[in-house]
Amino acid sequence: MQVTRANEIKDYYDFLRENAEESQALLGDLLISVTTFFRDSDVFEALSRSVIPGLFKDKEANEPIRVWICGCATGEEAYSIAILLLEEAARHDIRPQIQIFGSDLDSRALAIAREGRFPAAIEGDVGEERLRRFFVKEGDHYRIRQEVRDIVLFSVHDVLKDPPFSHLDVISCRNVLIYLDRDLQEQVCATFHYALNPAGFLLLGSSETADHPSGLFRTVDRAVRLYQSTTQAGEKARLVPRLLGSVRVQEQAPHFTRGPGHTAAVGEATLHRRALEKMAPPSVLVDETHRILHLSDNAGRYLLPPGGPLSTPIRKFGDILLRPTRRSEWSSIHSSAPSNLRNAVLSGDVADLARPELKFELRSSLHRVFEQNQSTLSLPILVQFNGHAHRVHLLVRPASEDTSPRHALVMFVEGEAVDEALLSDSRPVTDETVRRLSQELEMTQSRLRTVREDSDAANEELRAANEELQSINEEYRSTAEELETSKEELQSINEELQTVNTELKFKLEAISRTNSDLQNLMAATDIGTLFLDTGLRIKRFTDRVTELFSIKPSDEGRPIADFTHQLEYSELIKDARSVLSELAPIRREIRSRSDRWFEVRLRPYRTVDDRIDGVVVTFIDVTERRKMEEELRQEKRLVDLSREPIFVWDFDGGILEWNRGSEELYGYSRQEALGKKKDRLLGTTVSGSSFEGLKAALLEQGNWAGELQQTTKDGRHLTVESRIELVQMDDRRLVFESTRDITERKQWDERQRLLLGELAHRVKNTLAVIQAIARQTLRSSESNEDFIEQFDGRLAALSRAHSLLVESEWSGASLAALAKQELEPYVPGRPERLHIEGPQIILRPDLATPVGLVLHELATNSTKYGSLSRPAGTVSLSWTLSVGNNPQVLSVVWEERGGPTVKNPKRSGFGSTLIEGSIPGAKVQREFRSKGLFCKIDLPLTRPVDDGKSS
Amino acid sequence: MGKAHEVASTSLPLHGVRVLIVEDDFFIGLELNAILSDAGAVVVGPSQTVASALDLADDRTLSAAILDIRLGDDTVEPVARRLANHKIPFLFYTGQSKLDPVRAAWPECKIVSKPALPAVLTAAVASLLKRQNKAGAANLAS
Repeated sequence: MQVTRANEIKDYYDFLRENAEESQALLGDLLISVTTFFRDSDVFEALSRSVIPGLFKDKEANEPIRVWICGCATGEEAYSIAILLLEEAARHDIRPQIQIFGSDLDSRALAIAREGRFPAAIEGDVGEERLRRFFVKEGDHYRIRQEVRDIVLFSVHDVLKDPPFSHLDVISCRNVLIYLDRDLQEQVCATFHYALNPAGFLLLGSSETADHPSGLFRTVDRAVRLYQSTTQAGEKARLVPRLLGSVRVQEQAPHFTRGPGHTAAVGEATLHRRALEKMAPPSVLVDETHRILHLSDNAGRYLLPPGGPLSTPIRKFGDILLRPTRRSEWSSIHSSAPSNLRNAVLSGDVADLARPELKFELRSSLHRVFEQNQSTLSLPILVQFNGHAHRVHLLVRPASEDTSPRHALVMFVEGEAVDEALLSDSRPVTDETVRRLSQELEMTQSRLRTVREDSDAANEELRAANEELQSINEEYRSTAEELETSKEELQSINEELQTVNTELKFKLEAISRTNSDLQNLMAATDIGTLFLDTGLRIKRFTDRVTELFSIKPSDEGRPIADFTHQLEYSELIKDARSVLSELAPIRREIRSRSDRWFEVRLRPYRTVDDRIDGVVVTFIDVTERRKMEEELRQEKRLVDLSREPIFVWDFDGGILEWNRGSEELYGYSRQEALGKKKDRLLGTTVSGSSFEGLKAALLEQGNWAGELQQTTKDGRHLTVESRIELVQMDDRRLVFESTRDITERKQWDERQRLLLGELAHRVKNTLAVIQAIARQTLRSSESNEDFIEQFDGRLAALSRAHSLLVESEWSGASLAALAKQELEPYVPGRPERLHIEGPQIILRPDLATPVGLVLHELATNSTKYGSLSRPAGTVSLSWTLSVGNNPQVLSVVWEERGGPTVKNPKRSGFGSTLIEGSIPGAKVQREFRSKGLFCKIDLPLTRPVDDGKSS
Repeated sequence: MGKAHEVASTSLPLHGVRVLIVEDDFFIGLELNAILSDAGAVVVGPSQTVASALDLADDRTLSAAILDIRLGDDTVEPVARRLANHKIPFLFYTGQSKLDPVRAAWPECKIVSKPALPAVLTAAVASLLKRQNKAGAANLAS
């Protein structure tokens, strides 16, 4: 109502009348499909205890047991009863045919019922035994077995409108009546009574009864609401109760006028009408079909409903009952009180209801009125009222002048009571003919009455038969419907089967394709693969396995343990068992007897549905790999051992490898170096280029060789000779670099170059000195012999000084050694003529040479003119080092003894120049004393501060 | 020393020319002195140290100079600069290789390699003077 915005029931009712969809929706809401298997177990116990055994006992073999489940919803109850019946049938030798009808208004519920597939939750309602016996498990559902399904028919059926099923032994209609009002409940009960066989059982819901209308059912077990039909076997003439459906067409008929008793207004006209009604003869208003539309107050006196069995009063009244709309009306009919009849809205053939004496005349009069539109006043008819005969005239006339709708008014005009005896006596038969005719008429009339009664009875029977036929028809219809449903079901099953078939075909194709793939894979694979089942028997294997195991294709199915193999692998069986139990793969490297290596992998064989169904063993020949690994290890060891730095770096990244040689040269450990940028770690610079230039060259040529400057961890700058190769590996560019430290060689080279330059310089200088000495000697020579002698001597002196310097690697010469070398040649075999004395002094190279030359000049002069020219002459050479002076001054003194008297030479020759000037910074003092020459040379030892007056 | 030889003639190639000699070796200096004197030049020096050479280089009457590059542990470079400032032409008389930094610093300067014949030296000094005269004449002309 809220959905349709109707404020009052009336509005909603109107809406319902106009709107078919809404009424369907309302109906759907009202139909409550709640049911379970064996709902209320005590009910079913009662059924199986007190009803079902009886059904089987009384049945003949070919007589079916018929049960109707009215309001079966999704069919659980129908199946429950079917199960009970089947269980009972199993206990009997004879198996009567069992037919169960399940009916409901709700076609959707019925669709579920027909499918017979129920969720696993029914386990709680249905015992384990019954589940196993009567259900098939389908995934998480249970499907009722065909055996049960076959005996249950479902159909859409409205117990209020549709004719019932018939000849039923049991009707179960639980929790349906509670949704109906009392009148409808009684109608339904009557319907059930009709449908049941004599002494059939009716099962109702816990709050329902079959007590009304009374007399139809007797209570068998009130607790479970089990009733039994009161009809006894052999009773007949049952009439089908009126059903709502058959009268629907008349629903739209105009409403009938109500009795004045309901009218509150009392005017004079009304008073007059009442008086008239009271005084006027009793009358009945009928329609064209002779049905009573209205009775006057006292018209009941002329009506007498026909007789019949007392147990079916409703049927009698039901026969004339159009709309038992109100309880009061029902009871009024039931009580048959004439005073109340006027309040009843009745219909029925007035001719049937009228007293027998009046029937004939009434029917013909009515006929005349409606056919010819003529009023009829009958002759007086003798009618027996309470044993007294009264004369009654029937006045039948059209009720109105209007032609349609046509009604007729039947009035009963009654005269005084007539004494019958008097009547017959007072009218003696005067004429024999008349008497005979009269007798004949009476005979004829009585025969007619009999015939009519017979006809009525036959009619009644025919009607009953008709009704029964209708029920049977209904049943057939249900069966047909069921068959139709079954057919549809079969069609859909067929459809399903076809789909499944197609699917299977596809699957088969896929499987055969997979199989051929597998065959090819097995043939093509170079890996020995062995499939074992859970008992470690051979299931399948590839050719390569035969190289290891002595098995043939015919050995499939035999235990693998029976076969010898080429592997040094005694734990194979143990491992396989462990894989089966632990489900963890095992991997081993095993050597074969032919000295090859195999990687053996065992893993559980998992089926597609994740079941373990054995072990898969693969044998991969890894001999080559192991060899290469071994070689690789050796190579790595070599690289590691190498003193040469070898390392690998990513062209776009850091250092990847760093051998021991690299660690030693650069000072960075492997851990420190890995991942670092090579150029940054080693501060690489490229002479005459850049690191980027180097990389570009690498990219272009793939390799590079040359010198690099690098810095070690402790900051030393190295020059290395580097050889670099760029190798493309997949998507990485690796750079292999090997370097050699050439820093020392470089330094040597440089030193050598410098030395060579120095040598050249020194040689040139020395040559220039010798040249100068030669020229100067020549200038002061008197003859060639003299030149040769002097030059030879000076050259020798120079050579001796150089020899000493070379010995000291040109660092300096000891003064004592120099003096000895220079002077000893002048005193051959007589060293005592020389006296050399002084502290140890090392002369710088630039001093040693001139000092040597000066000593040589002094000695030459002495040999020519001085002490050494005499055999006893001696020379003393001594030197001291001044103390405290800065620079220190070396004083060398030459003193001759025992020689001839010497004089200052007249001409100062080259020798004198040499003695006086050749020692840089020295002061030379010569005295020609009588005892011999005295010469003192003062020599500043550090380089003197040049005062610019060196000359 | 500064002793001039008695033999002097106006026909000598370096007649009256004052030449500074800077040479640390006594004998070579002696010989240079002799050669130049023989050629008629007036020798200033020989100077054996940079300090004394710098003093002598300020003598504005100098016409030319012969410089040894290495003087003991020093080089003659300051003297060369001083002479260049005074526009006194000079030549290096040296045993140094071409890589020597002082030689490299004066690429224009005439080099006479040790040991040299007296005539070569004399001619070298004479050519210095000739070049100097030309430049001087050019200067005068301008």
